[in-house]
Amino acid sequence: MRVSLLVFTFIGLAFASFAAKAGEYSLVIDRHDVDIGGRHGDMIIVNGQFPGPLLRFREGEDVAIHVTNRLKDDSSVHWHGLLLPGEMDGVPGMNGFGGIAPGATFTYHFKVRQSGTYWYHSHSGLQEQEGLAGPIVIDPAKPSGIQAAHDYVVMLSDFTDERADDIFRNLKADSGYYNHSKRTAGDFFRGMGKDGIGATLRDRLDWGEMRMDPTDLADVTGYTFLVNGKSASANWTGLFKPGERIRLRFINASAMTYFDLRIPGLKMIVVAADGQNVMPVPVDEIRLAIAETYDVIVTPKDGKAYTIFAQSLDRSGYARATLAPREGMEAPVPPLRRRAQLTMADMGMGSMEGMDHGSMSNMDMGGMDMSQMGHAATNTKPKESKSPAEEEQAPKGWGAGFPAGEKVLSYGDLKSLTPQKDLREPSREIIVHLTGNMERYIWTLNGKKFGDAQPIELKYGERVKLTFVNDTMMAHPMHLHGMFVQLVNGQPAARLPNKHIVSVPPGQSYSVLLTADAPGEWAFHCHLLYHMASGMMNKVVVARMSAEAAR
Amino acid sequence: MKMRFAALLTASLALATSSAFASDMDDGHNHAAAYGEPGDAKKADRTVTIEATEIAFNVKELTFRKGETVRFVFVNKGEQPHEFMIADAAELADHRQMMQQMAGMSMESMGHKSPNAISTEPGETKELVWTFTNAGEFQFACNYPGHAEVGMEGKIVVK
Amino acid sequence: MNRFSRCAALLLPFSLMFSSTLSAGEMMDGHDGPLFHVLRLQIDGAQNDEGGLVTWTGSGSLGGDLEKLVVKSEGEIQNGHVERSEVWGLYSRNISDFWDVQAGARQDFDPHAQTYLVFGVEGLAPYFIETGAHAFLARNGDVSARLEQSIDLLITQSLALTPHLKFDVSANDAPEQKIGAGLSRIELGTRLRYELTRKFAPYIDLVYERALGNTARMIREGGSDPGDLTLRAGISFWF
Repeated sequence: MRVSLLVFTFIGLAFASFAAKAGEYSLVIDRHDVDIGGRHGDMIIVNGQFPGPLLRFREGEDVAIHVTNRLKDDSSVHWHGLLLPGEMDGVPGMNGFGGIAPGATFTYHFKVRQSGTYWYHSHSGLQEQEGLAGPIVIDPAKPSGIQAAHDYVVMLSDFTDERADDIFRNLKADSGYYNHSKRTAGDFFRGMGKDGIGATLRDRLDWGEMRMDPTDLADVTGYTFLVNGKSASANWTGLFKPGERIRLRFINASAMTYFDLRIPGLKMIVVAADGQNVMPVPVDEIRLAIAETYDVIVTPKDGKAYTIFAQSLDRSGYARATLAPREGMEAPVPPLRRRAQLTMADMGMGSMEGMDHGSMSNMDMGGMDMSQMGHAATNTKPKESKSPAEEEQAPKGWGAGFPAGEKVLSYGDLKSLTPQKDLREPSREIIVHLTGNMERYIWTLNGKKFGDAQPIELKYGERVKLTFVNDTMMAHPMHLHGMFVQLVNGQPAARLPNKHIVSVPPGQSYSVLLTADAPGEWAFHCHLLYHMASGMMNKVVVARMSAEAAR
Repeated sequence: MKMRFAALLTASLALATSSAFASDMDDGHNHAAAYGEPGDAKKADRTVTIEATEIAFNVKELTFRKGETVRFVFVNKGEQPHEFMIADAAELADHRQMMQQMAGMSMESMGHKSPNAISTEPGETKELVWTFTNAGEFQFACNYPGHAEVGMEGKIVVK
Repeated sequence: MNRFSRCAALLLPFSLMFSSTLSAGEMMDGHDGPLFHVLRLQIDGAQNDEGGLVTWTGSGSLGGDLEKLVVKSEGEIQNGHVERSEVWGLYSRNISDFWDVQAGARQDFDPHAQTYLVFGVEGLAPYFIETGAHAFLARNGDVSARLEQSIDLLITQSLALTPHLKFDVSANDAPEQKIGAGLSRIELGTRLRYELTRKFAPYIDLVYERALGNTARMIREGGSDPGDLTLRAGISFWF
């Protein structure tokens, strides 16, 4: 990344203001050319950095964050996952916040009421894709018992030199614009060879009849995936001494990309999800939805390098980083796995071969190993080794494609470390259909675009159940601002984990509980950036009975 | 439906294997292990208080004399169940694997009857009396999945 | 009078554009509905019995998810002489996941100037068949219709074979335009396109065009051949 003198000036400025007073922070938003391995993008930089600098708060701290907008357009910063007053949440059009005008400075004031790993990003237009994002780490008031020799933020993002507006326009003009893995004549003949002409033709006709594409795993491709702003070849490296414990704070700060993340050779112990402590879960792999964060502990015993490998769900590329005893050491980078193909089950259309692999990847599964199910779904009969013909075959289903015997984190594994306080049964259920028109690239909630929909109204203090019904063939990372939701994941009521992102796989339903304890207007949307931009958003209004009801 | 059946089957299989495994281990404990044997509280030479928090023990290393009988008072000051187990590295590894396999089941039902281990709920205090019959280096750990890995383990040196 | 009504017909889409822009503009704040525009052009050349043939098809659209203004044009140039040309101006409104209804005007310049009112549907039929079906009411009262369909079959990720068809049907004889009642003209073809990028693709197109029934007779009487098989080479692009 090339940085100019001007940018250095900003860094200087930033440091000056950082040093100003405890609890005071300054972020200056500007635009600059960013060079990622020869790909130049006109990106948004924060305090001269791309992505934005780490903000490190302490639980209980009163913070004042001065955000100065040097862009030509309005901007904003949203503190993703933080519990704060509505007017400090940074969503233009909500709680009277109008965004930050060009040249203006807005000061966010709030008390930090939690600890953990979070992030910040713009909530204006498509600025998040352009780089306005950065990590937030909040140290707990009472130090964690987990003693890690190193504490590293590993923030994943998807970089492109294409203008975000152009991407959006291309998707509107041709929703398959970025899909370079569509089914071809060759796939048809291979399918014929394997399943016979009848089954292959029927499958094609079934999808054709619905005008749906089973290869539609990601709307946008062409990304270079980054770790802390560094490409795979630039290889961000975290150092350790053998036997030391390392806390890795994974943040998926990408605009559109799900990652399958693992560190070959290391067990990852998940200790926090979306910033909230959970009872430890040892896993081999995590499917990281957009905007989710996970803290894991790893303890490399050997004095060698380990690769942090995060391949995109559509296998169009990977982000890579290294843990090593010394700078410059590298471990092998695994090959990309085969791209999965969606099935009728992912459409919520019942099952193929009598197996409902759609539902395997989450809810009913509790602590079951998701990978084994993917395996069961792929091969109807257990086989010792895969023949080349089987290797050719794409894993079937959104949740498939993990190797057998590997433990993949599932929502069912997550148990809140701190027992939940509100154990009331929900007083009512709110159904939210995740809907869309892929052909026209219009994404909606309950069939309505943001602006056309009635806000979801909650009474202050009310406990409700939110049930997401995904009527589309894409997974949607649903995000509610201002309050954590508790996953209804089969764990005891007191152990339901807090989340700010709920990833709902294609064709499935998922329920969460919510205590409406934060008055105000809260954005509620799909965190796939272009889905939100196309309308997949609504407003949740938490009203205090007295004043608000009178209106 | 089929899936749920498969899940049940897997779970019961896991139970069957692990309980078989556990009873094997119990047999093992009844014989004196290298790291000692259950002791008599009345004959305890000293009392050691072990505190569990999130997610750590308050001690990293314990040193005892050969033949010493110790009353361990295990206080769970954390927010989830924790275990205190005395064993050698190999047995701890086995035990950890077993508990990992059972991770799908309710944690609370995982409390086991090994004489060299005590399992506590948050806020609970339990005692374990142990006689260190041989000199050597042993370990203590909490074997709930991931706990030892993030730091709930330590060394016992018997001189 | 003639001129006046032609102007009126041409202005209709623009007045609709105005209302469309307004309503789309209202949705522009927050996270909703920006306006998008797309221009597509496909132009090719071929050699037939009569010499050089150039064919073009183009369309432009401006609007949001619900409402769009669409302009279309297509035509043929034979040996430097425009044999057929038409321009459409339509208001297009999304009515279901895959379909838009459209209304507006069509102006033909060649072979004979004529103005029509257009009403039709455009969208994606099951099995990914791009479909347009429009009915035309000419100023003189003549009624006609056109059906167009095509489907993209991928050979590789960038090489696509696109069979396409176009049927023209007329309710009346329209001798000035050399159109007879009934199925007047069919065009069947298959286009092989290589996408150098998503937005730029050279192609070859094997097209069989044929006039039928009275239309064929009229063309024959004019001394031309009612059927024409051509292999065209061209480029398609959009931006």
